[in-house]
Amino acid sequence: MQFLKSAYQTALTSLVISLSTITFAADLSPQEVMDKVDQQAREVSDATLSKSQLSSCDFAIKNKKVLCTETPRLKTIESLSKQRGDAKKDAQSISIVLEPASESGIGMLTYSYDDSSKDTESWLYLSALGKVKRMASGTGEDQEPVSLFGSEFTTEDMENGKTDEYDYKLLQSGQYQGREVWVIEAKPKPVRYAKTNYGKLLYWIDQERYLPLKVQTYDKRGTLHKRIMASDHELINGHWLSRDLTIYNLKRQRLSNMKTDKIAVNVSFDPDFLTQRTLTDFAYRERVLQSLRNYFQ
Amino acid sequence: MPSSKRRISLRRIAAGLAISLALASVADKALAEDLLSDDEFSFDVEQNAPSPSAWPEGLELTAEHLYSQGDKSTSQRSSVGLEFEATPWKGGFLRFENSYRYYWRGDLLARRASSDQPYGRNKLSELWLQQSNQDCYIKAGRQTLFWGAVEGTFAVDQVTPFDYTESLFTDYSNIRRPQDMILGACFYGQTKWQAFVTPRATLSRISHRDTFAFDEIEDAMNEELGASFQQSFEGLDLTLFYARLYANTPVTVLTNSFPPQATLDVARYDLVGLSVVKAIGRLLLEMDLGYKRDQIIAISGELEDQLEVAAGFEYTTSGNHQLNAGIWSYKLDTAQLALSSAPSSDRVEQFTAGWSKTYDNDDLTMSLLGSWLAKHQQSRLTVHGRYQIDDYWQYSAALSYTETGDLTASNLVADGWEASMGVKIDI
Repeated sequence: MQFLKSAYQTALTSLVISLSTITFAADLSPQEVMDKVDQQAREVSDATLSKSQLSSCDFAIKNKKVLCTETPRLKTIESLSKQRGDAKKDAQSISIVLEPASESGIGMLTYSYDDSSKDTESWLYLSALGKVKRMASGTGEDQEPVSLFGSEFTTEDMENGKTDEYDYKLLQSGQYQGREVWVIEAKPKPVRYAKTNYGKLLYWIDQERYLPLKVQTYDKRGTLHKRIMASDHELINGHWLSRDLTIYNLKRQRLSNMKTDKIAVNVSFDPDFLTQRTLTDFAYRERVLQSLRNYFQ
Repeated sequence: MPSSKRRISLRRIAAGLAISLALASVADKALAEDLLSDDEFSFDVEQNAPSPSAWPEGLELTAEHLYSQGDKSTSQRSSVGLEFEATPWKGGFLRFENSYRYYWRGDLLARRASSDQPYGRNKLSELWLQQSNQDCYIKAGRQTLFWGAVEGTFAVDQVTPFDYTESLFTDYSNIRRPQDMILGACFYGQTKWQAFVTPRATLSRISHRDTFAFDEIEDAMNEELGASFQQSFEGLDLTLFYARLYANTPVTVLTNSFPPQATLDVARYDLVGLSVVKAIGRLLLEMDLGYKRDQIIAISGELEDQLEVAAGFEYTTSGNHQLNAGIWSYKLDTAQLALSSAPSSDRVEQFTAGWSKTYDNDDLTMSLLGSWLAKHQQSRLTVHGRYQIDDYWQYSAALSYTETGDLTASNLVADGWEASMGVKIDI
């Protein structure tokens, strides 16, 4: 019995030491690291105008290179967002589809709240009808995540501010693609489990920049589902961001690439811009956006 | 159990556990190494990037062909369209949309002419200039104006007349007949004021040919004007409407002379309306209320005030199925429809229900729409599918079943099955 106890103790002690070593090296708990990553993501999207290209295609791998096996589908979207509230966890944003021609002019205004009891408010400008329609989306968390503009990114892949709904564990730290990273595992707490498609997520976080370099999502059976790779990292107004995100849906063999062509961070604009007016008053919208586009980087 | 055997057994368990832990540790290490190793593949963004479009910005070209086969009618139409948007100066915005549609031999509108001759028609849908300044904008030119909240009902949506020559299968904007209008709007936070003037009112269009009777009435019609006020609260939109309008469709009235003669007359009336939209979670409740003064009753020519009420809901399920249903209560002019010899109008309730869902990353949209006019056993059910094959090509198909009940079947709505197919390219 003593031997058994000793064996357990030895194993546990070595495990604890090894984890502690990593934890101490990090100087922050995994939860704190992820909170910091989340905070940076929210700060980057505060008063930010961006023009992004979203392309999607079926893919195949040849000589370790990923190739689209069809002509990629392309969407160009211009978005302006602002964080609101004391903790800046509420968000207001407007997104307008510029391409393809068949969807050009469709615009969506969204107010989302950190308070899970408050419904997300959204209005859609229907270009075919020339009118604004209020949409009922609830809190957005009590329904299945939906594809973002028809891409492999879903609303769940892009949301911020939910770090308290996961348990985080540091798996490893070391060099990845020439950068010092922490590899952190996120498992949804019971409150999150019912809302998510994922049973587990792994994050590769740049230790210096607090930027995810890679994310892997696993389904609830533990099978690798999606891999998100970030590249083209840039320091803009004191915040790190990745201009290029590629998501591989390994189940569907389909990928989407989101390339932020142009971005202007921390721009100041009329608070009334993020209202229904912007969806119908094109002249006003273009006047404001034109002045903000001068700050594009 | 003897103590020696127990010792051996415990040693075996301990050894097994130690090996397991050692293996676990090795496996953990292997996993850890895996996590930091290079990825087995990489995506070359530049190589896979779509080629940049050489198409001029703001210009859109469409071509479309629609074919529809019913038990009693056929539609066969092709169209080309051009859209253009530009910002001519700071604070200004210009939009142009024009289409030319060709009605092939055998099409129900071509057949309506005695010789079944194919023909083409041009339609200028939009040509307006918007100028924005501080809190307001003004928009002048050819445009449409939609009022009301409940889809598929027209309790307050009375401003822009209909174009019944268009197939219901085309875009929603096409089934309206745009008007020359000056529209102004001002925004103060969540408050919106809107006003419009149409210098010369127009009627709904039911045919391209033999329209002289309608043209004559239109020549005698003057301006229309109206205003609305909208206030948005958290989860709630309230809108009030007032307009001085002409009815969109004339009615047949018998003169007092002997023998009586049938003439066409159109109501000039005041509309007062209210729209309410309330979002509760994933449920959207909608209501439109329209009070119309001085509506002309067919045959007798008597005037009557009418109240129209529409109420409905939209609901998004957790699986993102969109459901909607509504009821629209209005006065049906039974004398105009030759249902009754007595000069009267009859209150009817029309029910609508629908479902829609997108599949395959929004490429496939399926929908089902039903409507039912209970009192006259008129019903229509349509299942519709639209598939976006790439960024340019779109296919659509629909299957409808209609029962006109005791309402007169028209050239536009016939009893029985109808299958439709369409193909559209949008550049």
